Amino acid sequence: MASLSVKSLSLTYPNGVRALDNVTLEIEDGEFLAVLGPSGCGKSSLLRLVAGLETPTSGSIATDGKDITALEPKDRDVAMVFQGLALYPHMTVRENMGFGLFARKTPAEETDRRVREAAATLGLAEHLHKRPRELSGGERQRVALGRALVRRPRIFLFDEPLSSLDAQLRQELREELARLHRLTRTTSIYVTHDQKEALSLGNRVAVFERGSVRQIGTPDAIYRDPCDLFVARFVGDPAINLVQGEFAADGGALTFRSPGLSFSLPAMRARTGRAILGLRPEAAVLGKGPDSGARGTVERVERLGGDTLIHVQTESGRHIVRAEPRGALPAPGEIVGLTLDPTRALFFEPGGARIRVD
Amino acid sequence: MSRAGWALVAIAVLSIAPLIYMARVSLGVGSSLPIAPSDWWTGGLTLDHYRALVSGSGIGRFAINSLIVTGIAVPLQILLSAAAGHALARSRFAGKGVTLGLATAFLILPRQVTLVPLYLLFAKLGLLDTYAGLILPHLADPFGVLFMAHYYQTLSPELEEAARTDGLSPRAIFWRIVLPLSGPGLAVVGVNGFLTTWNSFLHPLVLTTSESMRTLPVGLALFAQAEHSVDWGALLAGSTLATAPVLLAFLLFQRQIVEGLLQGSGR
Repeated sequence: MASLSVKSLSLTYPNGVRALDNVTLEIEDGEFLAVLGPSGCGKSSLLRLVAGLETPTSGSIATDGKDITALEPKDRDVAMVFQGLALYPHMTVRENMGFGLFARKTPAEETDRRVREAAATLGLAEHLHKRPRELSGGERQRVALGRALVRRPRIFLFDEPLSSLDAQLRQELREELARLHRLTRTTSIYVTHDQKEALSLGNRVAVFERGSVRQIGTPDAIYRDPCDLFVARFVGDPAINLVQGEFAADGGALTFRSPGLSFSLPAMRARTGRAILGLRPEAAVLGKGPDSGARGTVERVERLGGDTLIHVQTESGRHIVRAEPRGALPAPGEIVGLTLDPTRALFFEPGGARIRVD
Repeated sequence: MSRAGWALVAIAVLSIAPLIYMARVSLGVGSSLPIAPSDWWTGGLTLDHYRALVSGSGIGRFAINSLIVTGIAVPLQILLSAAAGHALARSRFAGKGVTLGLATAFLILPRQVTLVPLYLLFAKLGLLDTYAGLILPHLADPFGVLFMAHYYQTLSPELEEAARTDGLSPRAIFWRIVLPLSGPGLAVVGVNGFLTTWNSFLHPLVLTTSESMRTLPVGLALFAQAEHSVDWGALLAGSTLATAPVLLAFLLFQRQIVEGLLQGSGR
C-alpha cells in the first residue's frame, strides 16, 4: 500500500491530442479515489500513466515520495483492471489469476495458495479449471479482479471495469469492490463515467474535463458544492435544474429574478448582472400557496419505484422536483407552486464559474 | 441451391479438374497415356510410372531435400513474420513507415528479379549447392510480415498491456501471450510459406548444381525431360507425388486458414 502523488502531469499524444493537461493529485495511502468524467476527458490516460503504459510529456508520478515516472510497468507494483478485462483467453482461470505471480517468479505453492484464497473471496473456487470463454460476464469480471487481487500490489487501477455489465450485475460488483477495498485497504484509482459508481465507491471523487481536474472532493461536496457549472451539470441524477436570470440589489437583500420567479437571499455581497441559478431536485418543494417561489404546470409524474420525480413546466423553464416521500402526488396538468430553498440555491456566472453569495 | 452456391461448385470443379486429370494420366499404361477423358475408363490402371520414378530418378533424395528445406525454412519464416509483423504493428520507431513501404514494394517485385543478384552473392559466400543457400532466400517473406502486421493490428493491445503490468518482459510477452494467440494468422502464413517453398522451382534450379542437392520439383522436371523428349507419365506421377503434401497441409489447416483470413472482418 502506498500514497500516490501526481505532479503537473501532462500527456500529448504524437498526433497532437492533449490527453492530460497539468494534472496534480494527491492520493492518500488506502484511499479510494474515483475519477469521473465524460469520455475523452483524459481519465483513462491518467491510469495508463500511473501504470507506466504511457510516458508523460511532462510532470512526475511518485509513490510514497519515491519518483516512479521512469519505471517500467513491471517495476511499479501496480495492478490494473482493464476496461476490456484483458483475460488471457488461452489460459485457465487459475493460470490467469496466478500469472502476475508466475511472471515475478513467486514459488508455485505460494502462488497456488494466494490464487485459491482470492478465488474463495470472489466465489470462483469451482471455476479455476475453466477458460475465460466458458464463464459468464460477471464471472469474467471477478477473474479480472482476482488477477489484480492475487498480486497484492501497492496500488489498484480500475479502468471502467463494470461498463460492459447489466445494471444488476454492476450493482452487485460495486458492492463487491467496496467490500474488497474495506478488506485490503489498498490505495485505488477507479475511473468511470458513471456518477453512481463514482459517488458510491470513492472516498473522494475527482471530476475531469478536457484533460484537467475540475474539482476534487468528497462525494457529498461534489454534489452539494460544485465548483462550477460543468461539475454541477455532470454530477446529479436527475440533472440539476438551471434557470437563466439576473441579480438585482433590493434594499439590504439580494434578489434573483427570472420570468415568473423571484426570490431574495440574505446575501453578504451585493452584485448585479446576469446569472444562472442551479437547483438540485430536492432544493425545491411543491407548495400550494401563492407565496411560493414560482408557479407551473405539472407535465409528468415519473415514478421510479422508491422515488418519484415531478416535472413542472414554469415560465422560467422546466424543473424536475423530487416528491416528498408519502406526500400527496399532483396530477399532470395541475397548477402547483414551487417553494425554493435559498440556502441550497447555487449560482453561476454565464461563463460557468460559481458565484458564491454567502 | 442458390446461384452463388452453383457458382462456387463450378469454381471448385474447375480448380480440382486439373489435379484429377494429372492423377489419372499418371496412372495410365505405357506410352498410350489416357490423354482424352474418353480414354479414362478404358485405358487401364498401372503404377508403372511411379515404379520407374522411384527406381530411376533419385526421387527419394529429392524428397528428402525438399523436406529439409521446407522443414527448416517454413517454421523460421513463420517466426520471423510474427516477430517483424508484431514490431510493425505495435512499436513506434523512426522509419516505420519506410519499412512498411519497403515490405510492400518487395511484395510487388517479381521474385525472379532477385535471381541473378542472389546467385552472385551466394557464389561469393560459398552458399551455392548448399542447404543454407536453398533455405535463406525463403526466410524473409514480405507477405508474411505484412499479413501478421495487419493481424496484430486487429488484436487488442490490452492483453499485452495486462501482461506488462503483470510483470512480463517484452520477449516473454511475445512468447507467452502474442504467439499463442496468433494461431489463425500463423496458419495462413505457414501454408502460404509451405506452398511457395515446396513449389519453388527457379531458385533451387539456379542455386544448385549437383543432382544430390536438387529439390523435388527441380529433380522431377530434369528427370522427365531427359534425352530431348518429355516422359509425360513420369512427369505427372512425380507432380502427383509432389502435390500431395501441399493438399495435405491445406486440408489439415483449412479451418485455421479460413479463420485467419476472416479475422477482423467482423463476423
